[in-house]
Amino acid sequence: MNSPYPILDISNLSITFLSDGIKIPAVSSFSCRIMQGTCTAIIGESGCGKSVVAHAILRLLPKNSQVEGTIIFKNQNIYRLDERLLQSIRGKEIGIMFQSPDRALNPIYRLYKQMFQPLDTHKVVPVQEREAHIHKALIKAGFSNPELAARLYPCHCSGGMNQRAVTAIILSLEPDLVIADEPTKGLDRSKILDIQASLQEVLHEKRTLLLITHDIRLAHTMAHHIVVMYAGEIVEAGPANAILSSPSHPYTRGLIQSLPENGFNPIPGCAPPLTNLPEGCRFADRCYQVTKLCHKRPAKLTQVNGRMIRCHRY
Amino acid sequence: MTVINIPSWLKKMRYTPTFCIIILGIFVYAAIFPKTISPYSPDIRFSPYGEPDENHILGTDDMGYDILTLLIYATRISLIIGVFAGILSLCIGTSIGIASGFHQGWVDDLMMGVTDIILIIPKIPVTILIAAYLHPSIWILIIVLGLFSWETTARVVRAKTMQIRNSGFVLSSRCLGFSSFSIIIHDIIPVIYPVLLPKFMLTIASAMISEASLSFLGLSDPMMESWGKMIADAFDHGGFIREMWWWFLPPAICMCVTVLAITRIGMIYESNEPEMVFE
Amino acid sequence: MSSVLIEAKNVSKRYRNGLAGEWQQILTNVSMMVHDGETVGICGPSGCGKSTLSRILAGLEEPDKGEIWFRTILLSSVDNKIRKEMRRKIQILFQDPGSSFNPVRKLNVSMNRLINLPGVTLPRQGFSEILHKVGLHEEILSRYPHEISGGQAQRLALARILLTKPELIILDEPTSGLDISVQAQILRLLKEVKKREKMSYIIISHDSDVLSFMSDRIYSMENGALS
Repeated sequence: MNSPYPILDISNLSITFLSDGIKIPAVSSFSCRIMQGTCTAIIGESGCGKSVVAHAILRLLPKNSQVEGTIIFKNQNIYRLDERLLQSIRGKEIGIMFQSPDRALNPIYRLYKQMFQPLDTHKVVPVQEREAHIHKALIKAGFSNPELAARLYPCHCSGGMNQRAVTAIILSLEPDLVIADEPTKGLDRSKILDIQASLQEVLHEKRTLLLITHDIRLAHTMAHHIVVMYAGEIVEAGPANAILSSPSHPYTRGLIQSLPENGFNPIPGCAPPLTNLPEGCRFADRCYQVTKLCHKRPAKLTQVNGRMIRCHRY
Repeated sequence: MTVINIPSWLKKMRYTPTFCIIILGIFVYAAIFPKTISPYSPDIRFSPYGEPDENHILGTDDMGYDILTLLIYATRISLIIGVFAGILSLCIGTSIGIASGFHQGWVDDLMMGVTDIILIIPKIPVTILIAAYLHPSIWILIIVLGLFSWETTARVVRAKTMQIRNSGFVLSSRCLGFSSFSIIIHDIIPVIYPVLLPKFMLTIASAMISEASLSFLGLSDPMMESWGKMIADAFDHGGFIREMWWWFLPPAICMCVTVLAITRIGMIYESNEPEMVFE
Repeated sequence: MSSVLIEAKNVSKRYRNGLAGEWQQILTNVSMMVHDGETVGICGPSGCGKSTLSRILAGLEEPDKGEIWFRTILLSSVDNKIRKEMRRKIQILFQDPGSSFNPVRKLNVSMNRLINLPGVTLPRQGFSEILHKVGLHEEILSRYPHEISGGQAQRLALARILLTKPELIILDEPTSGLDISVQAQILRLLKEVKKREKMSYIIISHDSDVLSFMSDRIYSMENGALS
């Protein structure tokens, strides 16, 4: 077992979008260190900036974005790399799984071709070995007859099988880091379990997983570390079990309370618009433990009891 | 960075081809008020085959009419044919497309069968046949051109209508109890409008070109002077042989410029903004 | 025992693609009933016909076989005008709330269209009261549908439905695609509305937690059959 080393090191990442002359601070001072072989989950509601972070790691942000801070992947600064080098990193060293992974397959190509193309582009294995590699990946994905399966079109397979095929494609490139951006959004329970199995497999192969989701239960099952984001900032970060069983930040507490098993108790109000952020703490208007100080000054991220918390009460 | 409050209609005009609108405006003005810019009245005859000089900027044709005057008065005919054929085509195509896409079932199958038949019919030979049998007049021409160009509009409108028919807001409107008519006017047409406008413009452009081709073949009303007719006259009555480029080039250029302007205006909805996806 | 609000008896429906496609049986002999003031849940995997049933109940589609009874009136036996009135008392709150509004029109235009509906009187002082009931601010009406969040859109759709004073609202996957925190807000709001307006609900969801939180009784649907 390798000693854990940070495979991805993000420091002070701030991303601003320019739209019609207005600056939108999507992410503010995001810092995170992801160790190899672990699963880190970024949770938060829609619009909190977690997807933006994922796109930033892959340098897939739109042109009207301004990025400050550094993202270091395996000792390389992502934002200093040449685009061609970055293209070889995307897919080969950083695998990506987006929403509805079973729909990520191109419906007009057979499975074999779709699995062959990425191998060909990234030249992961020499030509002679590619077919064997694909068959191995298909078997791992649950297809009992890989030769027959490879000639199928996506429409011939069920959604679950397609999604396992997508996982097989991602894993066949043997990436070191896999980023899953809201893979279970809008799906029902059985499909979520399928995806969970795929993600478990990623970890099984000793790769690193960065899971971005709003589904707290999924994060609880899979993650070793959790980062909670609100309105573009980290509000709490630390070991998953500790945070989810005894949350410290009021927002995290509110999220846990709104889970079905705790009675669907909502957090009143809604997140502040990013174009009109309040002066003090961004969660102050919805916080049940709010004080006068919270409205005046924003809190800083400090280390308390083995986790990072952004709250005046700590 | 300063925040400038741009009104939304002006924002949409960022992609407006103002130059093309001005050009088209000039032609439309010439069509409506030819007397104000034309140097002479169209029935005055001068000495024929005259070359361009200070009295006749574009010279005179074989009958002695001033070419510039003819050009300006022909604008009206050409534009009328184009616009009316376009309107006819738009009305038929949109109605059939919406009826087909919205009600589906046997209405859809029937309409699409009719559309397929019209699609197969070759336009120019049929127009030639009709022109041979009937006394060609400007209205017959408009009707024929309009009747043979609505199929593509119908297909496109049908596809878009079917796409939005099952989307949330149409189903909500039906559920709330709005009549089909109200749904078509308020929900469907505003959404398919960005598709209708380019099709309308392109139909106008293509009708003008078709008319020019037909005039060139001698199948249009011999009494009306359109740009196509002018070019045809130039070729038939000795303008080409005498290398009177000032006779046949100006109408051709006018036609090209107008068609380009109309087409460009039809493309105003093509912007860099992402399209809305109905799923 | 409270009176029956709506009842479906032996409803069957099948579809086919075009005039030459194969018939696909979506619903087979479905029977269910909802009493006044009750919330009935329908659970089942996606694609089993739940949405089709909701559309048939609301009158968007007609069943091939079977009867729909609204209180004591058989809907297929009355003439069109009365049927439309009855059907308007049953409304559907669709999933994917962002697409419940016309995307090229501002929201206040979409809401003002309700004036044209027979039997709907818009409150004279505007929408502020009804918006307040669902937890929204009036300034949201000046925006376009794509500029508001899923939770806000869902609330506005609910407000629009409430203006037509329905007796039964069919909630088709009301919380799918919404965040955990927003889900809780919407579910609490729906419960509040039910208490205040004495509404009956049919809630369709694949999420068993949502169903057990909201419903008094649950039907389970699979491949077009109800149990």
